[in-house]
Amino acid sequence: MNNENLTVRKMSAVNGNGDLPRTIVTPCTDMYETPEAYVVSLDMPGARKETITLTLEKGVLQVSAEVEPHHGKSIAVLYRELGTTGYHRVFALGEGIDREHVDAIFEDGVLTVKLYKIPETKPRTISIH
Amino acid sequence: MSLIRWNTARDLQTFPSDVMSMQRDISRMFDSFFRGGLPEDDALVPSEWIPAVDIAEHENEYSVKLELPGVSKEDVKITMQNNVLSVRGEKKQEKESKGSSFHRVERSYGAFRRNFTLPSTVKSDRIDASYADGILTISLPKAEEAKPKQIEVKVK
Repeated sequence: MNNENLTVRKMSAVNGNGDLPRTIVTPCTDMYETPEAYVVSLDMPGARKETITLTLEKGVLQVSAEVEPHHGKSIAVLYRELGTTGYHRVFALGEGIDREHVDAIFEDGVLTVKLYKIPETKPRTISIH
Repeated sequence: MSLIRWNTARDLQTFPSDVMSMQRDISRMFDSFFRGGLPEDDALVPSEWIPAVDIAEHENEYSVKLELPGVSKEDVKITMQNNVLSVRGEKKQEKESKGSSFHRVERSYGAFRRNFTLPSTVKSDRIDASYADGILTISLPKAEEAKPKQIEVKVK
């Protein structure tokens, strides 16, 4: 699997969080391989589960999500390090992945996508007539 | 305007380790002197990653939000001592991933710790915390005298 999108993209449009610009972040991702699947886990703190979209099309896996504004009715934000308003990342998938068999769960701000491998075809004996 | 996350940990990793440990020793010395001493073992735990934090003021409370993706609730410890709010914990790797072959590791794991010195206008016995979707929210209710009051001034 290759990653095609590593840069943090910033858009100038304003979202519902006061005067903060939209900041779409590329989530930090771990990828590992087990005998039966590839597992991709993405750190997406603050993402709302219902806004997460996961598409698999022509060998490209796309993940995106929205983050709810963090301070609803606040008088002032005294200190700010959190600036993410959304997440987006694209992965190009290699061969041997079962496109019909993908699992995804979102727990504690981490999206874990499990892409199952196509079971290797058994060697076929060809009889000679 | 774009926001750049405060990331001292990454810069400091490039420092020679002896300089780092000397700096830690000195800050521990200052800490114990000015704060009347946090428990010694507490000061010795190095932070392996630093979660991002937001602090906001609301009408009746202050709220502190920390990004802690993949940290389970049970692994977070919030303590309050000498007006210092301390959030500590550990981010553990998933059990299933152990022994698997990794293709990419970008997420941070290990112990973390952040301390906040609170103003005396916080009701320290009424602090509350909740955790959802990787965000830890600590709410610090204001003491009565810190809440905004409306005073009517009569014009004569």
